[in-house]
Amino acid sequence: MAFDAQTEQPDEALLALYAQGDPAAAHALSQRLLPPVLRYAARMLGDMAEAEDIAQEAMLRLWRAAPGWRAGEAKVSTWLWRVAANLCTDRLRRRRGVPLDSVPEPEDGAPGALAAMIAADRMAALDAALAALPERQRQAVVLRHIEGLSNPEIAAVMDIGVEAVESLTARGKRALAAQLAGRRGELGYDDAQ
Amino acid sequence: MTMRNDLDDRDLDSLFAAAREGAPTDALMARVLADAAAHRPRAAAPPVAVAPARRSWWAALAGGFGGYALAGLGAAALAGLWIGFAVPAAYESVGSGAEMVELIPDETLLLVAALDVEG
Repeated sequence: MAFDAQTEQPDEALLALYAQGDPAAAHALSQRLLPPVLRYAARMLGDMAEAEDIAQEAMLRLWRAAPGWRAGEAKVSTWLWRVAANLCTDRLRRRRGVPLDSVPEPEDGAPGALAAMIAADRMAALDAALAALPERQRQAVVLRHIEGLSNPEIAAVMDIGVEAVESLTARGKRALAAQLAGRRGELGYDDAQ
Repeated sequence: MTMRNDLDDRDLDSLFAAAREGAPTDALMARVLADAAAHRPRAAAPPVAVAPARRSWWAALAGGFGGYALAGLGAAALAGLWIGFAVPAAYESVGSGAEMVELIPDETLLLVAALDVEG
């Protein structure tokens, strides 16, 4: 089946096509699922190389699970988020005690327009603020506010109740705002939105 | 109250939206697709056209008569053989005392009969 025709198909249908040996289905699934999983891992781990390993491993587990996938039992994206979340948690546990060095310093004199520098500064500030949050709050905030998962989905990924998710995201967002307090002008929000 | 130099909800939402723009490198995408190719189940092979095997005379016979009819025929043949070899003792005693009866007249009788007709 042509890739274009597959971009509108649900994840589960694509996974079923992959399980039947359709190579284009894997391409469509990767285009759809890899970017958010990579972003999530990068924000959880603060290290792009590690995040890439985690994202690749999560996708690999999806390929392996495809032949035995039971339709209607679990949402593919939620399953993948859960795998990625567990892999990140394992990775964080292994390096517990080692301070996160997650904030890439903006490169002085880097080529690019002012807007690009502002954008880079904002991302660096956001990543630094996220890295300062407790792990569960960071996880909930990234899933809710950056990747746009619903609270019930986050509850399934984190294996907690919806109320606990609401509490974590609310506290996390407040803590994030506190981390960024006083930096509005520095991050270019006075003259650029 | 939010101070002027603090980020408000709108600023945070804008920051979150910008954070959604990251994309994997081509190298990572290639690694993931290579994994997918390595673990992809093989597509179901299209049905291979198989030349019909030559039917043996036995199969043709079975087809012509029908399997059950042929089985019945075989069973009857076997039963006949068994009866032929295993002659019951009762029949043997009957056979031993019997006299021979000539049903077809021999040549001499036929010749006498012919002479009588001519005479």
